[in-house]
Amino acid sequence: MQRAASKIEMTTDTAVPQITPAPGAAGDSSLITHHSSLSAYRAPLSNTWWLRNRRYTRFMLREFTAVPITLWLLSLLIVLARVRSGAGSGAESPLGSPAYVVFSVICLIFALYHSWTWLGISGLILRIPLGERDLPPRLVTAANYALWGVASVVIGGALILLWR
Amino acid sequence: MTSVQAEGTRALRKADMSHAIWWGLFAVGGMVAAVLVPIHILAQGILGPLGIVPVVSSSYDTLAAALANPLVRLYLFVLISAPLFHAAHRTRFLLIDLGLHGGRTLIAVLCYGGAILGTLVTAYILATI
Repeated sequence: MQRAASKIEMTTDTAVPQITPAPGAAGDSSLITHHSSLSAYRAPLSNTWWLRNRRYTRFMLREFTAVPITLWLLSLLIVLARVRSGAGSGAESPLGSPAYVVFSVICLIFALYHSWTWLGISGLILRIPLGERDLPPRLVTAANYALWGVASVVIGGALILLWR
Repeated sequence: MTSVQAEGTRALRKADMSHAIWWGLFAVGGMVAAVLVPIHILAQGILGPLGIVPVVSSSYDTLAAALANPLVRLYLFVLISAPLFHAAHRTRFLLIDLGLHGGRTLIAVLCYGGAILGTLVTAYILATI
């Protein structure tokens, strides 16, 4: 959907907007103004279209990873919100409970899937100019995976040192 | 260019601007979620509680001690708030993909508004600990 949007964006830079003509509508310039009102025609689609093949399901799974990631971060936020009243009382935070570990394992699986897919396509999205060409996408992807590794070591190390 | 076309171009530019801002926040949040979140969940949510590495104690006192460091608070602010905008953007289009075609504006306002609210709450909590 973002790629489709970028196709529209490009037309703002050209004198004559070039929008891929819909079947049967070639040469109809009145379509351009319809399009600019952002109310493009939508083909009817069943709400379970993403179960139809594995690629669509993987796409939905990838988009869904944001939900468990957010839930985990909100759980951390709830613990942080309780620190002020909890400190000094000797109370235990829910961070140590077995249920929280299970919850974290589930969220981690989704988080790893997000990292893998996000960094995997980062080379196609991040364009780094190098002379007249761009840095090869594969190098950008590799650099991002390396960044992930370094950040994991640094953050992991810091968490061990700080929160001992 | 006719006035109708000029108006259309202006509308597109405006849409582009808001698209660029939300997409930019989505990208930053996605990067933070990809690079920082897995190790944090692994360390604080799994290895620490299981006692495999001495990451975090389950008592609030040690958390309070760690949070005395402003760098820890800044890190936690970025760790929590940036992925909220990533999730807002993804949820917005996830809901549309799942068939909620009506109320697109409402969906966008709820998703991005939720991310903004979450960011303010995170900032408040971290500032008043």
